[in-house]
Amino acid sequence: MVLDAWAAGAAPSDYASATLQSSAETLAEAGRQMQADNSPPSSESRGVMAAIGQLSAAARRAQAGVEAGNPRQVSQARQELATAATDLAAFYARSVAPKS
Amino acid sequence: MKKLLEISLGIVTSVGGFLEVGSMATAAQAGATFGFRLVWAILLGTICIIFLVEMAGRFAAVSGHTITDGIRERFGFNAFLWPLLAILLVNFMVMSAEIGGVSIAAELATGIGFQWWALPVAFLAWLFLWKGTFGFIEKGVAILGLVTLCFVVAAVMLKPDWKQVAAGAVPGLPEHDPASYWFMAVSILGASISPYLFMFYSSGAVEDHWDKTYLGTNRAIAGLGMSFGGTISLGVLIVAALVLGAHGINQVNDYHQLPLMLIPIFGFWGFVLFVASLAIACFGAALEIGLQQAYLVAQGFGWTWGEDLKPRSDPAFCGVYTLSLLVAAIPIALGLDPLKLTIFSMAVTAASLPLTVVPFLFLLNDERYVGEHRNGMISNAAVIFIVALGFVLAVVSIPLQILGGS
Repeated sequence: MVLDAWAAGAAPSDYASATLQSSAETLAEAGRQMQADNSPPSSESRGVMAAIGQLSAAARRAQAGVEAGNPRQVSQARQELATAATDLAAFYARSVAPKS
Repeated sequence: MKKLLEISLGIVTSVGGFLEVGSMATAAQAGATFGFRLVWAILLGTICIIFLVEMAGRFAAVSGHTITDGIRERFGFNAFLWPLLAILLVNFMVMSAEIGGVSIAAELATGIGFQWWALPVAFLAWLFLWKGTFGFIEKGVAILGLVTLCFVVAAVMLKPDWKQVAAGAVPGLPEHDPASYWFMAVSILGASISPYLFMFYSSGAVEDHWDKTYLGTNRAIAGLGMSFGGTISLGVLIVAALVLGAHGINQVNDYHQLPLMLIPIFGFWGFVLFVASLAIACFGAALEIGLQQAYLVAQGFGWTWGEDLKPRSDPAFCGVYTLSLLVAAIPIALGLDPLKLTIFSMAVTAASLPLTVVPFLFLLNDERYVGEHRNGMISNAAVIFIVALGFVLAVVSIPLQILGGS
């Protein structure tokens, strides 16, 4: 949402950058927390953790793009965010689905 | 004509001064996480604050006393000490949250971290209190606070399903996350019924030399001003539900998410309006709480007090707001998350309400103070019910929220 706003010129770069940084940190922290809570990790939780890591990394790349004022880099990072979010949803659904 | 002007100005002041960091953050969180399901909490909180503000004004106009004055005189200093300590502590947390709100607005506007703004904000607030008059503090900042009406405009522009909004006015059980739901309900009640609101109002009535001829004015200001103020909180909840919820933001756990509420509606001006609303609303509230701390201590200990007096005439009064602002800025300057502090302090406010409201209700039923203008059955029952509900929910949900760790 913040990337859409930034791309439309509705959010200042400082704000968009700080928001992305905060999101990346929150995601990284969630990944670390999950790793600590799931030791040893199951295959599903490994997938969830990997997707969270990709989301965090994509948020970092988007932040770098915003700071550099590079719409192409931001657009690419947005695609990566969307893909990682879809993966996360799929892994999460698999991890909470009842085992047959 | 003069009375009509006073009523209009009083209503405008109440509306502009209603929204602060607590009502904004709790309504935004509630809307994003639970849609319209917590509309009832805003309504209950607004009804309760209408009653309390009306009582505070009536008490001051009829007896010539502020609430603090009255409690100390009626119950003695030893019994007064407990409510005094509870209110000082709650006000300290809320003032810290308000300074945090202004600091966040400054960070959003400049990109410089909020921690760096806490002490300059506290200094600016101190300067306003040191140099300003009561009328300037009460009306000047509150009139600027009318910018918060942008949330109502945004809510109307989003064309919500009003039937669904109305359905939220009936309390119900949540579909998910019940601990968080009840904690949010408590926080909304705490934000709406902050003791500083009605205590400040009673001190203001004494500063403005109200007498019995102001009873009608008081009723109009309490009823209309607080109702319109509650409408702004409702606007925040509706906007959060329709904008944040619709974009998959179901948890507001980072203050960076908040400006996103208005950007899709007003574009870049949405960002500007949000920053202005947060800064002005929180700054106004910080000034009022700073003054309220000084009123509380000065009235409690029988010192000379009055915002319209020169600082050299009431140095202890000025010393209290100076110290309060400085101490309240410290947690924010040390990096405490203002959003988490806000939500928590609102819940603690709800838990502390019986300590402040119950002695006040005794005063409002005491003929020696209010004569024939005693409370009626309905106002007593409504306030007791809402305050008891807030207290019970707080006692149950605060430990659950702390243990849940979210």
